[in-house]
Amino acid sequence: MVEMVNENELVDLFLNEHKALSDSILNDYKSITEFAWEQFSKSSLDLNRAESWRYFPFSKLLNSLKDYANYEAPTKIVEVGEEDSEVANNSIKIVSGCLDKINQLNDNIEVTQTRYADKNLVNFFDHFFKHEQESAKNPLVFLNGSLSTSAILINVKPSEEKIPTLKINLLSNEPGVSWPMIGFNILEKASLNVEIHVNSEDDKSLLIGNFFAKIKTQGELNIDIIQCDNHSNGIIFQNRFVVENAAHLKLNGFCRGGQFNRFDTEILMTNENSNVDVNFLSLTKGNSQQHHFINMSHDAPNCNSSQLFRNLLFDKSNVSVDGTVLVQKGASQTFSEQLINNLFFSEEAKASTKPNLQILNDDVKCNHGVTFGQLEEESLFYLKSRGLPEELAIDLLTKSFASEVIEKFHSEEMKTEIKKLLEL
Amino acid sequence: MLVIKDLHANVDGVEVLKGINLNIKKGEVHAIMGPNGSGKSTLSKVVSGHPDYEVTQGSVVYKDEDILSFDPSDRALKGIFMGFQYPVEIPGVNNEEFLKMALNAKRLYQGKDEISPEDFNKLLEEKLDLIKAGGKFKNRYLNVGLSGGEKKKNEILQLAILEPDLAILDETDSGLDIDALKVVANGIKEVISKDQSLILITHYQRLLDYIQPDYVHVLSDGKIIKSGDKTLAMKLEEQGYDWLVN
Repeated sequence: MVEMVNENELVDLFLNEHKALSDSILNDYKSITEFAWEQFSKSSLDLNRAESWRYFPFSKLLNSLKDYANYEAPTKIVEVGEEDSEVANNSIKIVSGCLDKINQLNDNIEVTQTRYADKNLVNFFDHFFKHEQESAKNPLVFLNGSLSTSAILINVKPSEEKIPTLKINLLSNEPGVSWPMIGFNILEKASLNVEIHVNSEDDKSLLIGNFFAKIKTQGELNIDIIQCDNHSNGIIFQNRFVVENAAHLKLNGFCRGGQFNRFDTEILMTNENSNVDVNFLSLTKGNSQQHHFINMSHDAPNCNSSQLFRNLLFDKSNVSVDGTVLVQKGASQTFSEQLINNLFFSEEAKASTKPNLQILNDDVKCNHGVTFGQLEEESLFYLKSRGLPEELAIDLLTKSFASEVIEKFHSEEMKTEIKKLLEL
Repeated sequence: MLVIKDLHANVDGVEVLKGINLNIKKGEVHAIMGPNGSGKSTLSKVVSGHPDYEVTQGSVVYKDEDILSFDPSDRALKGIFMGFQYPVEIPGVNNEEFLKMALNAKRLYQGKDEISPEDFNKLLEEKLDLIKAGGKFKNRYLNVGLSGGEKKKNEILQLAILEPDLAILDETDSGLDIDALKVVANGIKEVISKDQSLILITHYQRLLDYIQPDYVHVLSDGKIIKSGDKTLAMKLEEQGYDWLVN
């Protein structure tokens, strides 16, 4: 039985946490973040509260936080040009929410950072993305405006030569809550491949990561993300992408481990002829939870979007995908597809999906599909009949299930890494 | 090599095999024919250990050992190979890698070292030549994107690489056109040596034009109702099964 939690109680707990933070304005960061984790874990990581977490009203909480976002805090916008030979070229390392190292960035990539942000952070992103009204409605901005320790904007200019892949390492190395925020501004005809690793070195951390991107005319952004966590941590990613005229976005993710993972993703295809491809693979074990909310909005004609989710569920894990595709009036010749496949390795694991198509225009093609199942017995028998031991046969079939998503990854290194991480 | 005695087996609670007796010696080729639903495929799956089939009575002794309690992979490692009527497609698993894994599993069982990449490449090329198959069988995912005939050819490639002592080929000729049948049948002939035993499950005499059986058995309603030499297959081709069944 799922125990429903009192939403107001949770909101209050978060507000208390926030009060403590705003009272001390980062003078005692460690104790505040530990306190925040304590509240988070006590109130929210109760393993029987899967459904409560899935539908936890972040927006309600975040709107409440608006009232607290008005305190004054120092805001710095700094150019970052430091180099560090300990990290890979063209890479950025962010530790517990703060920019830690940056190394030999390509000339076409500029990184700007603001620290100790408060409500001015809203202005920071508004300045670059010029979405004042929408930003004001976006609860995430208020969350970060209240609590963020670092916000980084990555500006990418067009280049005749291919820009090398940008590597970002997002690390939590201490208990507590960190709130990194990364914005990509892909200028007209610019193209960038990004590899993001999300790891933790300790238990009891909650990472709230925000990725924002604006991809301008004929721009291209390919993001490959691997999140691998051997600890009982929580991750909440809230992503927002704006894809303009004839621009491309490809977002590939692999997620393994962690106690609670939630990915809220909003993609706006604002201009004609844009393409979006989202592929996600997850492996959940123990009592872990993973929830996706994805909102794909086709606002202009002749845009294509594709979503593929493959989930491998073990033990008592719980995975959900709530996917909305909205085709706005006037978005003729839209093509949109969404496929969610769940593969169970345990009778106690749970998966749920909520596909939601809202089509306000004729002359579009949209489809969606969902499957739930176990390893095909016939395939297992086939492999075993060639002498493969059961463990190896299951391993191969698991990789087979995952392969379609893995192949979408841009990075060959990441493909190999995922295959290793899938070894059961 | 293989002695089946009074074998009864159920699938989904329905008895399909109702007392099979069969004795196959080293190097012999046996053809099993019979009308649809007679239990031919069930027999091959029971011998190779498919979990859907429950043996309720009798024994299957292979090389003096009752194998009914063995896992399918153990049976394969001991030298039993089943060629599937409908080979399964497994995307994401490279055919060449799969062949190497299967061969190494067998070598490990036999106490041998893993085959070196160079030796495996040589072996693979040799077997591909033997069954007149091109490079497409190396770099593809297992059976993915192959035509019906090519899938059967891939089964024969696995047979050639694994060199089992007993091969059971379940309707390897089904779904093949005349040319593909010739290629597959010649492939089987090439890869099966005189020391290997072979059970060919088939509906048609035409496969037996290429691979001459020592014995032909007719299976009907879960029992072998007639055994004979290759002339029995010719008679079946001419007269059908009615004269035996009714």
